[in-house]
Amino acid sequence: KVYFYYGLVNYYQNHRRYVKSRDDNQLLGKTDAVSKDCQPFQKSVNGSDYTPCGAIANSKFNDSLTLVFNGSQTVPLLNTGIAWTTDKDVKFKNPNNASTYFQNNPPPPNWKYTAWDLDKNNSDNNGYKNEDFIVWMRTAAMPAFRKLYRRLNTNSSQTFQGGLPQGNYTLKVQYNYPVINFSGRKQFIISTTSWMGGKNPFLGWAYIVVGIVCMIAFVVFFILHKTWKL
Amino acid sequence: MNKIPFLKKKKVEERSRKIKANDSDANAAKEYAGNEISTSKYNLITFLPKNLFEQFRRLANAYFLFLLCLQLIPQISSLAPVTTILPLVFVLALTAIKDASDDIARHRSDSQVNNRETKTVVGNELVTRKWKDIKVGDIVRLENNEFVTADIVLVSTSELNGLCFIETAELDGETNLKVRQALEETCDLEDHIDQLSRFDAEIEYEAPNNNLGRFEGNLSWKNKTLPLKNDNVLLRGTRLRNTQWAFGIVCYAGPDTKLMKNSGKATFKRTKIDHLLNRIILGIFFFLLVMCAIMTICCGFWESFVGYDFRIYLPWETYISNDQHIGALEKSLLVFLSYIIILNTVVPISLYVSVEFIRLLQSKWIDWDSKMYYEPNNVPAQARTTTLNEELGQIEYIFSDKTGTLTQNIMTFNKCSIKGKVYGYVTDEAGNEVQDPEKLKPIQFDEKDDDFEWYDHKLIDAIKKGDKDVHTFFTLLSLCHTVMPEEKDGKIAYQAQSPDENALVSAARTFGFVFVNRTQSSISVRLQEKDATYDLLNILDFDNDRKRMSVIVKKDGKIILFCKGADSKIKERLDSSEKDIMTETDEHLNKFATDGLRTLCLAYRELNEGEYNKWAEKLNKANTSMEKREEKVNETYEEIEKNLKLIGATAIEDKLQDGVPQCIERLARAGIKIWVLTGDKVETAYNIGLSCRLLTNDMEIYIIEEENEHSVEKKLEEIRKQMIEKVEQLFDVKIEDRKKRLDWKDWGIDVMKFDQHRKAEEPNGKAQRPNGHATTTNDSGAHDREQFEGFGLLITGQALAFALSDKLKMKLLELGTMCKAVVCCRVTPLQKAQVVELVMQNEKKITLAIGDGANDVSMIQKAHIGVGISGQEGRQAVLASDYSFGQFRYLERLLLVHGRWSYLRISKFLRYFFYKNFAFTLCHFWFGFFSGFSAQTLYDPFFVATYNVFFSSLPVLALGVFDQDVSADHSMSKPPLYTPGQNNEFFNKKIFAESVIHGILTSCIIFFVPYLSVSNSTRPGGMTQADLQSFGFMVATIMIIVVNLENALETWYWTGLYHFVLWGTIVVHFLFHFVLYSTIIYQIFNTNYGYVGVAQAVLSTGNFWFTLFLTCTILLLPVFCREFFRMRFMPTKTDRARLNQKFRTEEKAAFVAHIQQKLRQSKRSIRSGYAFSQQQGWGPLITSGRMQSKSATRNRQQQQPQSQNQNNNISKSIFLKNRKTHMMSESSSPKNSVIPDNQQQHHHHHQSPAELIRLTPLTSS
Repeated sequence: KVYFYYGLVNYYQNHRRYVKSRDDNQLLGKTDAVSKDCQPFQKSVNGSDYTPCGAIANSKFNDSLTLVFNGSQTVPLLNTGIAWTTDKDVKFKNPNNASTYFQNNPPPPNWKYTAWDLDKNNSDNNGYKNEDFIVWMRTAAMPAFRKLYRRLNTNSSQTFQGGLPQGNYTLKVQYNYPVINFSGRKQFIISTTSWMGGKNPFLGWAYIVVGIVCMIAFVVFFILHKTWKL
Repeated sequence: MNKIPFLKKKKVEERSRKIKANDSDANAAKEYAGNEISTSKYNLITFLPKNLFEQFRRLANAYFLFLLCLQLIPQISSLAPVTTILPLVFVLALTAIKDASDDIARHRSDSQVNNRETKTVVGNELVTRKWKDIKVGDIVRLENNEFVTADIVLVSTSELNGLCFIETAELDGETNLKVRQALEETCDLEDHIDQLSRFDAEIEYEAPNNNLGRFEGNLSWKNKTLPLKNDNVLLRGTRLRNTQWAFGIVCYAGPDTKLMKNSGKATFKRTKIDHLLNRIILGIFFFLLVMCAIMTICCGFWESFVGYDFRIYLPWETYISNDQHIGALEKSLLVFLSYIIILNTVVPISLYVSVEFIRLLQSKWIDWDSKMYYEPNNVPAQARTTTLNEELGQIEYIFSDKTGTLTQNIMTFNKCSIKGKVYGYVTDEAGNEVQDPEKLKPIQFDEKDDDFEWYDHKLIDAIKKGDKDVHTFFTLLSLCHTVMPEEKDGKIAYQAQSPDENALVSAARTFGFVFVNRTQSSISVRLQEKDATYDLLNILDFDNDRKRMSVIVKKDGKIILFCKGADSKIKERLDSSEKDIMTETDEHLNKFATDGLRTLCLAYRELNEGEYNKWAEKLNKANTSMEKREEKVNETYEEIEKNLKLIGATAIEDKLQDGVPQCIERLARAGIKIWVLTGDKVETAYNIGLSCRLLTNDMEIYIIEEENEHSVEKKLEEIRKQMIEKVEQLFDVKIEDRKKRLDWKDWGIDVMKFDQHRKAEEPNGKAQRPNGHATTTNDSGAHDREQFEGFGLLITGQALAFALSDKLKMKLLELGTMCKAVVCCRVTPLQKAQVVELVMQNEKKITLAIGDGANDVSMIQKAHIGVGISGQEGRQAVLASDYSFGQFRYLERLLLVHGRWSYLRISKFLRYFFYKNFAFTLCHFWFGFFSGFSAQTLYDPFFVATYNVFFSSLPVLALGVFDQDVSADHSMSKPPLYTPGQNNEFFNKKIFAESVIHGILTSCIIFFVPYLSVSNSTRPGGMTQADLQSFGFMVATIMIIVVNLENALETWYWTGLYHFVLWGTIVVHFLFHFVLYSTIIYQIFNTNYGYVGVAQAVLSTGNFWFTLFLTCTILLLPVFCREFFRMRFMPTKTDRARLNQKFRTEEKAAFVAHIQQKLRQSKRSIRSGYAFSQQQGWGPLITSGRMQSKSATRNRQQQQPQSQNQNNNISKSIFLKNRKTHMMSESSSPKNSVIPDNQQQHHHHHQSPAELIRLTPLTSS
């Protein structure tokens, strides 16, 4: 299993006003007027609510990243199964008559198309239930974060059945998302996982160090305890 | 009450009042307050606004209200307002419920009092009315033993001359009866209702005031104006006694009564920890401001360098300037307030509630302690103030009353000396005194007081033989007194002014010399079954200068003067022929005094008719003289009280309360200094001091009884010099700066362990004995060296008056603090308070005052903690006290167990509480550095709201309520464990700083370890883990577990409840969040909680569990190590005691030894000194005929005061016990010396007090 991530550095998804700037009820498919929390991306100039509203949605990462193997073969990627199942099933729902709804209401100002155009091929991955959107909406805890972008489709071709074979890979970036003016950086990460998840050197080192300290403490305690006369 | 309280009219200040009896219309027009009282604070309508107002006046609550207001501003609110509303409402509701229940209790007691019934004269008949309907000007009828309805002016009573008796125990704590009298002119109205209803006197009197001892007014009736004095008034709160009925006009009612005017609010006491807490909280608040300021500054920089550019994704609010720096400045200022909101949990609102709650439960432990329940009197211990418990564990000075506190205030006739023969000691055939209680059998009497025991058959034989001297002796006892008889159930009960007199008259009755009745001019007695009546000619009454009283009686034409009084006074007046017998009696008196008995001498004189008549004339003249009447009368008395013939002496036992010596000894070992403040004489006080082991013979005792300022000053200097010499001589100390204040600590001497610091005996034999003789050999060794147990100081009230002056008081204090025990004799209530204040103000130590009488109230209120003993002297002391119980010995348990535990608990609680809140809150601070200083919370806002209230509160409350280091028995048997409290060792600024640093480090680890472990890791499914909600939940969960485990490490006393609460809290945390973060919420509220699915997502990763384990190890391992190393290398007293309790081996042995030692010590005499009654007698009342009771003629049912009888019952058993122990003391002394540990053993001193006083300072035996 191979996973592809995009990373952003010096990007403050955890800023208080940013975190707050969303309306969970809207994302549940309710069509009431959206919360004021979405300010300043609550309403468009003509007075109708943005769908979806808020700064988080408005700033959705929209670079498209493609990986080309040995200069010719595009690595087949899946854009589903990248969000939490609870998010996809419980937290995000499209309103009834989604297509007309999204047409009648304006998308956030930064968006070039409506939410209903996020994945035209898969209606289950469209609108609010688009997994790229859901992943973005789960705000990161730290200013340097990565988000799951795609996973490798191992079924579509022989080449990638066992993961990514050795070879030359080219990353093609359709650059839509500016980060330069706030000194942000973008990353593209390819990773696999074990039963514990991805590589995590910190835990390993920490366990070794703490383990050694515990051993020493044990020996000292043991000696002291044996020589202790009340 | 149908008035609306907040519309009360403002009253014009009254100058005087004028009322007319039986004219209710005119009186009603004056609008004086009715008799309804209301001590409650609220009613149904006013409760909510008034209670809320009161609550928000507390700084803490107001602060949280302020926070709440901040949170309601969306621009700065970093937390949903619910996070403050929830705890605030919780706290307010809890307090409101408590206030409401208190107020309901007050309403109940008010309505109970208001609905008491009394009879009033309405029209031509008596009507029963409720108290609340009584108005000023009504004529009311009071019945015997009823409480007085309001302040009333007496009109008439059932007794002759309009007399009536009242008991004022509720008012001033004095149980003896007092006399009030109606005006002569009105007392003829008696109980004729028709006349009373026509009674139309006008009364003009002063406006309501709180002076209990004064009443001024005039009663105009039948064109006569009669002055009214305090004697004519009955006050509310008193109780009618020995008077069948009394009529009176209500003059002050309800809130205007002197009782209500006097029930001022007691001063609000706060504990040392409270004060420290206030300063700490101020400090924390300052710390909070600093943190917020740091965040503000950082935010300013961040917004201008990063946030300004980041505006493409997160535009600034429209009201913020678009200029880079101005905008950043504006934003940063707003963030300051936001950070105040999210960091405010360092000053948690739950702190105050928790502390109050813990103290309340701790008080309940005291209330419920069956070992402090005094069964004989049905008196449980009571924590009347619930906010002072931990201070009980920090007491350094105890100020104790003597009478009724250390002693029982029960006197019994114990020994006597008649014409040179002593009675009361039982001797065997060989003439040795028998002291084995087993061999002693009390003689059975037909009629006797319950306390009274008599063993000596010789006296009975003498009476039977008709020994003339013995007969005279008892006849005197039955005649010479001012006791009033009362018939009750066919028996005669005596009402005496002092317990001494009662004891003597009762004893005479027991031996067959019964005082039956008295009239104005006669005394009827039954002497050995023969009735006799003596004509009472005069009573020469007792007063404090005369220290004696006499009666002159006439029978069969013989006029005899009987006199009893203090030995010194009688001695001066004896006939010269009585020298020999006086010498013998003197010996006996000394013996009595050594046994700690109170002594009186008895004498008589036969007068011839002519002589008497001449004298009586003189007396009459003196009595009617207008100037210096008293002096003249006293002079006349002197003339007749001379050439007396001595009959003998009596010895009365003033019994110590049970267990007092042991209690005092252990309190002393706990490092508590005990000052006894007593009204007794120096000799008495000294003896009491010895018998209750306050003073020991191995102490250096100094006595100050000088009578002018100069000599007191000199004496103080002299004692100081002697102390310095003594210290230098005994210890390896060189005091260079002689001017410097003396202090054991400066010399590094532990007052508890003098022996450890003693100079080593020099082996070359040149060691100096204290008396100056060089010891030539060293075989005496350590065993033989002079014992030293510290200094003791006795000071008389007169000397104290000078020593308390500004000039000398610091010198007195210096000496006093050097002493282990200080006894102040002959002190007034005011001086008691002054002494307490002197120590309190200058020593900065916690003081406790204990007493039982109204005269102790001042010191009880003054001291940090006042303890009242519900004894015989009324309830005044108890009402003024913070804690009360039935016996002095319970003080030991109150301090050494409850006090110590409370202090330990509250200290641990505070220590832990600050730790946990710093650990919790500082995570927000660290997170600020990653979230652009935007005041974003790390945790779920709901968790922020509930952390202090639910997820960390119960275990810490359990810690504060149940924790204990060692068991109650161990606490009692190891008094030194008490000392950490005195030195504030468990909670002080240093410990606070430590726990804050611990909290800060914890927050660092709890924040950064998960940060490092999670920030770049992914879950097995490929999703990243470091989203804000997951990270927040992860940190919160680790926080709960670490903080509660830390609590478990702090806890020493594990109970089932604690286990339940501790593990329950952790389990509930998981369950609660599972539910909250599940879809159940959606089903109920049709909307999602923002954190839906987070618990599941986090808890399903191995990463989380590994991080949790790692964090716990990192945080708890150092704590383990620290505890281990402290236990191993520098254990505190408490650690040692805990280990000992756990591994009993040696400890058991030591404990048994200790118990044995206790038993040995209790085999000491438990008796005390002696004195004469200290009150003016009833003589004038009796002779004037005013006091003559009609009881004999009317033969009516009388209720005897219950308390007297009850107490008699109790003390019987105690007395037996004491007697036993006393008797064993001497006979078993040879055995004692076999026991090797004789450090604590002291040979009882058998010197007369007089001798002792002369040897100042006393040399040790």
